[in-house]
Amino acid sequence: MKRRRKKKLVSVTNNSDLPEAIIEQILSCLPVKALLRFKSVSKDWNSIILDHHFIFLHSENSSLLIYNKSENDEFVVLDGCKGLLLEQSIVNNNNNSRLYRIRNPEIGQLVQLPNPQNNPSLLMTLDFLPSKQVFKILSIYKDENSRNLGCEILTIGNESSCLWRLLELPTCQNVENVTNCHVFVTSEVAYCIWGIINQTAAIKIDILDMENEIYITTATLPRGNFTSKLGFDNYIEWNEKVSFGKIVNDELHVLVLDDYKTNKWIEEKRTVKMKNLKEEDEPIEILSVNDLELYFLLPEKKSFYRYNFTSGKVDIVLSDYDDSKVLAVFHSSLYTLNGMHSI
Amino acid sequence: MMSLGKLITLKTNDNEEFKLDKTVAVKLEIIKNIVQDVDCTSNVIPLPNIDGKTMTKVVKYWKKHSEEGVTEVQLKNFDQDFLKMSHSELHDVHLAAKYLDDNQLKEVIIQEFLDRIKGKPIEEIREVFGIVNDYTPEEEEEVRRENAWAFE
Repeated sequence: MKRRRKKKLVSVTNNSDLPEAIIEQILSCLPVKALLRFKSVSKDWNSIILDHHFIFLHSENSSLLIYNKSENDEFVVLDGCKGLLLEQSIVNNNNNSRLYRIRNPEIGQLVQLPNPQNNPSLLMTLDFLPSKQVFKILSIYKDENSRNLGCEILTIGNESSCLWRLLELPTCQNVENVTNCHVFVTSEVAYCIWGIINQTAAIKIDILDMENEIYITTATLPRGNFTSKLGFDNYIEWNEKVSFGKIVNDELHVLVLDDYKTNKWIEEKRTVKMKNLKEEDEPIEILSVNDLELYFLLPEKKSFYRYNFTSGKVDIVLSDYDDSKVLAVFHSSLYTLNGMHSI
Repeated sequence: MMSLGKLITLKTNDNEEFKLDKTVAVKLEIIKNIVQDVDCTSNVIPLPNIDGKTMTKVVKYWKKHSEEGVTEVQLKNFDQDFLKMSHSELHDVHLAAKYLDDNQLKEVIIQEFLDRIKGKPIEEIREVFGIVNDYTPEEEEEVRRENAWAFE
């Protein structure tokens, strides 16, 4: 992070007729570009806009941006978090490795990341840890010799040196047995979800403590009639938890990993009526569910929808998206990282 | 808990009293909570953080917004008129709304501030908020240059 100007101890600034608290609140509702402009109003406003707490407050308030992944030809967006985009170069260097960088498109600044020890990465995620106010990147890679999958983590945003740290996965999967991988990070815990072939357990979930960078445990789906119908593609984010499920006869039926420590799964059901929206056998991709709403894609219609459980109403979040340019949705923010420079 | 009579009296820090009809007061979640929290024998609720001038405005807002049969258009016109006050007055009302936990009023005030800022050049923002530019011309030029692309 950039060095911040010390916050003034007095709450009422002597060159404005309004106290800092309300100025902060007003400014936190404004878009990033307006705030960059307003830095030149006065030194007080400048220091508010550069303040850590303000940046956090603003990022919580800010509106959603839908970002087009292939804006330029040299980099693709892998993930987005708090207004920052994690990007990977498309062109291979001689040794097949890629370049990685983080960019804040609203501020127009970027920083090059140190190369991961295992380059290229198979999958990378960018997440913010509120407790430490740092960003962490998790990279899944394939070890060239053993052909096992592993992961490494990079912490950015604090003053310590920026180095990738290898994290042993005791149940590490051989790449030949894995069909798919997805990583979901919530409440500072990472869930690495593996789709496995030729084994009784078709899905395994390695759970990692992101703050301390340690492996915690591995979860598997419980056996049962319903489980046998579920696969990797049935993954759904359920109230910030890992779940697998599908819609059968107007009913969304899911298994939710309620407590990873005890591998406790619970069943949940919700009525979902979308007869007017889609054909009987039209594929549906459920992305996430919370107590109020269900977010889903209809790939054939190329549209992204939101279904309200109480009213039964469906509205379109995004229509006619371009498949070839996968989209990233995130909040715009003022976050910058150590070493970021203008493009 | 005190008994709810027909009227509830709110008493500001400068001893001004506001009598609110029970039907108005009960609609306000916060008054209900204060009534339950404060152990008082009379129907008077003290408001130690709010003065009479500000409370007059707040009560005016509450009364209009809980009027029976009031239309959206009428409320819109009322709000427009209501918000014609100085920054410091707006701020006082915001503080009162915050103390009284009235989210709707809080949002209305912040939105008014945002409307006063919207699309205005830096010089006008300073004027609107009574801010003295404490940058030297060189410093201001530097800050503007750093953020040049926001000025495009």
